[in-house]
Amino acid sequence: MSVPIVLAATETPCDREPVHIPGTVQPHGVLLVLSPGGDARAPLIAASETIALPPDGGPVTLADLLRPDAVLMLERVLRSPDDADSLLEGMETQDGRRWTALLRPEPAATLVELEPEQPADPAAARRILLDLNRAIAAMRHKPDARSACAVACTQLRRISGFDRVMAYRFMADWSGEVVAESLREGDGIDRPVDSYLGLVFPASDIPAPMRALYARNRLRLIGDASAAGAPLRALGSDAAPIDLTDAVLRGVAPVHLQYLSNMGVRASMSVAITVSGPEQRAEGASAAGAERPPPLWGLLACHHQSGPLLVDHVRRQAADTIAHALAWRLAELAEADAARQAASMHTAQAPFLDMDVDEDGAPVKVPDATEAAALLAVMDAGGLAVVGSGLEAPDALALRLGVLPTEAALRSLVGWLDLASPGRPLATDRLGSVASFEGAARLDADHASGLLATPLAEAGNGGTWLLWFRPELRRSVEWAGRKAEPREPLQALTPRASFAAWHEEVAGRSAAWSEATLAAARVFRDGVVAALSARGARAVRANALLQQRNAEIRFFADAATHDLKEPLWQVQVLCGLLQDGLAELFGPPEPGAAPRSAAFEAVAREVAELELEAMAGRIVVSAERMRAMVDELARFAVAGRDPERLRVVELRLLAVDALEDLGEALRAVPDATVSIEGLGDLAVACDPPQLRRVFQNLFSNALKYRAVARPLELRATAERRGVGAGGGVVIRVEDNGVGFAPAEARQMFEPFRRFDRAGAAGSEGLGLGLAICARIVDAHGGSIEAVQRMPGARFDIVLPADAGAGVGEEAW
Amino acid sequence: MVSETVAGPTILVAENDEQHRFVLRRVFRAIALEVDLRFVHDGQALLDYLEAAGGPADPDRPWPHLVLIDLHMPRLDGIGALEAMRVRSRLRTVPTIVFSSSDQAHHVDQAYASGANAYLVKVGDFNQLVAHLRGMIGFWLKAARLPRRPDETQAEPARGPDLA
Repeated sequence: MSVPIVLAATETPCDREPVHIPGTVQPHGVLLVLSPGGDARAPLIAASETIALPPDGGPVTLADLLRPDAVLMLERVLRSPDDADSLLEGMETQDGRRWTALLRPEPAATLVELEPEQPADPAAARRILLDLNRAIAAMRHKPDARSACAVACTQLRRISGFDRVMAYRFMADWSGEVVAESLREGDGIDRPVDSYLGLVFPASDIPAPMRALYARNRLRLIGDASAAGAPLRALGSDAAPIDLTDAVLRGVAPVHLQYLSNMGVRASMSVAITVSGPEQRAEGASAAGAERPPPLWGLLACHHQSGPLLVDHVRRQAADTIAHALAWRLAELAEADAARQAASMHTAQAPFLDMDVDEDGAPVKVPDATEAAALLAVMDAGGLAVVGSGLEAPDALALRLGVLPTEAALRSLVGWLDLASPGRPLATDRLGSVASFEGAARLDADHASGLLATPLAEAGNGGTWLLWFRPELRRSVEWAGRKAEPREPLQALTPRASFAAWHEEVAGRSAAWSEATLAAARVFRDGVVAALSARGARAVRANALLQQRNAEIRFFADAATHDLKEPLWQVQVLCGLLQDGLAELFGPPEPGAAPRSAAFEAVAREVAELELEAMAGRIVVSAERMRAMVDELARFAVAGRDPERLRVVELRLLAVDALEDLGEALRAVPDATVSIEGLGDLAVACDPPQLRRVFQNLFSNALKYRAVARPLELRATAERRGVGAGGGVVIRVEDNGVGFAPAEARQMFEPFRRFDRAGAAGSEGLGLGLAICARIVDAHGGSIEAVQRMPGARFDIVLPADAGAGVGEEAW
Repeated sequence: MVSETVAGPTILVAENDEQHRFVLRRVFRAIALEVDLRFVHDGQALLDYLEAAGGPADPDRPWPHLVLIDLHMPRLDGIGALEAMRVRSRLRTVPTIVFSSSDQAHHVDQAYASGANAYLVKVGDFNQLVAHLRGMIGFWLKAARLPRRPDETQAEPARGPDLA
């Protein structure tokens, strides 16, 4: 996620100057252009007029210009270009001058660049290496960009011999500021060197085509700014301009020579400092998008005012190495900076994002003013607004912190962002002058000069934006010379004449957003996304739980009403019938009814009495059933664990009591085999009546769901599992009854679940028996599960060793 | 399945509890309604009965004039049985009345939505209950015209060649 910087764009005529095909070379060297493929005997395509060319205009070959041994050297290298050293020393032209040659095989042509041979200095190479080494070592220990740049300037000046070496840093709008410099000390002979430190140069001083060239050819040397360029003459029929992007000798635009001369500069060298951000490193060069700003951080710019200065190939390589080393250090520092700021952001955003929310999603604790100030401080921002423009719930995190524009202005800003930068972050330090934002006038510059907007979702098309605002920062800029007035297009290029510092009060701007701050904004955005999704997940979970609870309650109500109402209804109806029957039996005869014989009367009465007796019996049955259900319901209500009753008791004693409770019901089962010896002498800390209830319900279940076809076998066993705090006791109660279907293994522990069992002996009751067991075991911190046997069922109860310290009374 | 010897319209009741069956039989007898009360165990047994019943001369499984079902039943509950009946062409038209102790509105809604013809609450007041049952019998078995049995519709002669 890179952050495009939006500015009021201005294009200057220099932005269209074709600097890569100047048609000239610098006059101190010779450029020979061979056809592609580099046949040393073929006629040249072009040659600079810095060497004597035959006047007739016929074909020219290398042999016409170079001494035979030089041609041979070139030929040898051109034949096997891959393993060749592109630098050839000791070349001699026919006119007797000696040169160092640089060979550049390119798709369109092979360039041979001849630079004047420098006097041999065996110690130079060693000195350069030492200086380089020193430069790199010193930079590694500098804690900030400025001091690292200062080291680079000092060492580069030592190596190159320039009067002034500056580190020039591009700002977001491609204007640049001199952030460090190294100057030749005044020696009383030469003119003192002016300091440019702190000066700001307008973007037009290094126009876009020049900046683009730096991406390919990192170093630019102008050996003598006072010498006009020498033409490059086409020697063949093809007069197409020759791309000199990579050529050291590339001619200089006259406007630039004038510019340098206005500055009093005779020779200059610039080396690109390219620092890729973390994202660019991560994405790799292949994913380069057109909108991504080139990672041109700045330049190491060298000026010489005492005369022309030719920097040889080795020193140029050294300069490039220093720029590389500086770039590495700058990237390291930027990364550390971003990491520090990201860490601060993590801390500062926590109170806003990790808020506990209640069931309605409202924060339990609202961050206070100190926490708000801390969050804004990380971003060095005056205000933060989280504003939704779309339909997604913007209130989920509608933050408003610090000093902000009005709500209406915020809304219009977000509407504009959706169109201008859909799904992409945007940063500007001068929101008021962003041309396409019509709502700019409504913003109060005091509050909102700078904007860093991050979309919550990268998908775009209208969503929530995180808006950081920075107030206006009235500051004075020391321009290097009066800033160019806007010029009419096509007007002749005229360089600035004055480089004396020129003050300008800059209004409507904030401090610029640094990479580290942009990184912190990303951290905040990711935090918001994470918090929202966590909150969403929580809400979904709570909702599901609530629905489950509702379903359980409804099921409970249905089951309880039905099961309890049914016998009640029977009792009521039976009583009605009884009343009716009694009235008929003992009431006065209906008027007009024929008198009945005594014999008939006696028989009828006897039948009626039998009938009434039967109905009365039924009433008792229904009432009994109700009583049993109410008892069961009461047991369900109190199922759990009373801390007051906790004590250590032998399991076998509880099982014996439980069997006793079953009493008649158990004795009525023929041929039943009951074994509880497997419980041994194991004892657990528990609420004894409750655990006894568990045994009783499980035993009773075994009786109820015994298979009619075979004698009941019921067995309870127990064993210790593990030791210490993690250990516990496993109790098993197993039977050989009708068992259960796998799908019921969990359901059967829910209240009021009754399962119809083919071949079972009987199923009375509310269906609370196992629910009661589950509740009691749960309250003791244990678990219960049903295991299928062939045939029958087994119930495994695991009780922790410290069951006495059970868990909460999770209940209805 | 318990068959009463009393002749008259057949009412099929899905009810597994013997106590309940006793009560229903006595209530019907007390209000002197001449109905042939037949019981099945649950919703599934009800479907099985209806699928097998139908012949006019089948004394074991006479086609019911009216079906009474409870909402709470083992295996297949009342709603499930209703829905199953309403998607089977043979059973779709059988007048079916939910007879339940629940008076909750959502149960009533659900019963009608699933295809019940009426919903009667098992009221506790004896006189009211008798009045309701008399009303039910009077309307459904005397006043209302009922759809034909499946065997009657099947016996209908073809209406000629289908020219479509």
